[in-house]
Amino acid sequence: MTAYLFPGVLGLLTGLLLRWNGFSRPAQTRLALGLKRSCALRSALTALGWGMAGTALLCWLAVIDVDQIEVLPLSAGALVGGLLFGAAAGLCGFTPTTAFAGLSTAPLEALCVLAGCFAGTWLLPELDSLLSPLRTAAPYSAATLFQVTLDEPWLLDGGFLGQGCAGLLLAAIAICIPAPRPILLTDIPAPEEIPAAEISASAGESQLTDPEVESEPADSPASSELPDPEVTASPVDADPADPAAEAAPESSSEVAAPPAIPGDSLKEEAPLAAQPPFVALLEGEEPLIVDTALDEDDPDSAALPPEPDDADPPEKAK
Amino acid sequence: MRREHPLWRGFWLAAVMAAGLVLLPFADTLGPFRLDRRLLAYAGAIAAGSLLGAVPALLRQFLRKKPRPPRVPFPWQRCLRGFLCGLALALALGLAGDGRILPALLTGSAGGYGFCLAALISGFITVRIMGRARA
Repeated sequence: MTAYLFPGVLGLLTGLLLRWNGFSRPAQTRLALGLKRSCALRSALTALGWGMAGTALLCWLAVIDVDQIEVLPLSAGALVGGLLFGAAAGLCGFTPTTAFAGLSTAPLEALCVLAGCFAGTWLLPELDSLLSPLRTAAPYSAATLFQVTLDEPWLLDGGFLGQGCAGLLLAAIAICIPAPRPILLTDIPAPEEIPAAEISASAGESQLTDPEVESEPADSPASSELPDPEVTASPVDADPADPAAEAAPESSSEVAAPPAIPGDSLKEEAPLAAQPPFVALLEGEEPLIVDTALDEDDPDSAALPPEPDDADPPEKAK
Repeated sequence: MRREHPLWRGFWLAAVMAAGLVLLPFADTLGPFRLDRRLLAYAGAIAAGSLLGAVPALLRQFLRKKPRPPRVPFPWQRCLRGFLCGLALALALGLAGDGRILPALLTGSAGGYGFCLAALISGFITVRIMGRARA
């Protein structure tokens, strides 16, 4: 039983942290691969920086035996494998480890990816004769960036100190990556306006919306049609620590209508009570809901803002 | 430091992943897919932890009685694409040296960074092509 205790606890913590950092959502992985503003990209780079610095420190303290460090050679296999890995991760939005975490957010998609991973692992020994020449093909170099081993060559001077500084530099670069933009999602029906027939009580969290649409990062108009489920479905419930609330807005802020301020909406001809609420999300903050419907009992809110004196009607201007 | 600060998030992620790497060999990539009970327990706990992380939001949603949006169908083409992508992921990691990518990155191996750069380039191109095709 104790043999499973450490793996279980570590897996539990890893799953929690992967979800906290947004890796359980395919949209975040695609945003990170597309070099868009995403929480996952910042967290991954920061984790890599911390890891490099920590490894250098442990090696310098002789906690890690440098003789046991196995250097991964730079070969054609690594390059071709990287190209294949990036293309597959961009298509499905998962890596093998994050697919396990994705079982909580996109279970069907994650299950398909996991089934493929199991099949690929089963096929690997059969294909070993085909893949092994690639692993040793040129360009072959077993070098490290800094000197961390006794035998292998290195590219840069500096040793453990250089590697630690490089890790801290990577973490600093990750901090400089801009945070996801504040967004204003308009045209979102209020929760009470959703038809009851469309509500499925058994709907899983991953099935709340189309993951393809939710994950579409950039310039697709379709991405504005169906924003992130946790944002649209229950804006009040969106967890500020949950980076899922930061995923889809990346595209929505660019595609959606220009952020309308409540004052502007008062000038429109539509009934004020029919105006949907505005949902504004800021990174790390509670979602702010501004209802454009005025409270008639409140004389301050019922009064329309005065028109500026110099704003002539278009007819007069002509 | 705020709880949501990337330094904070990255630190804990690096710490837990590093602990997994030390205590469980090959825990980073293809390890969970091998028939090792410890690694399978690790992988199952990852899914359980992720589900556990979803509990607070679901509880809040339940207590406030907020309705859920409709279920969106999941087409079989996406199932097939996910399966093929998983297959490609496993083959790519096996080609590069499964279980050695993350330690290679932490120790500064040139192969690890070559793998990452290649993955970043192809992933960037793939995501851009997907975005344009859908636009």
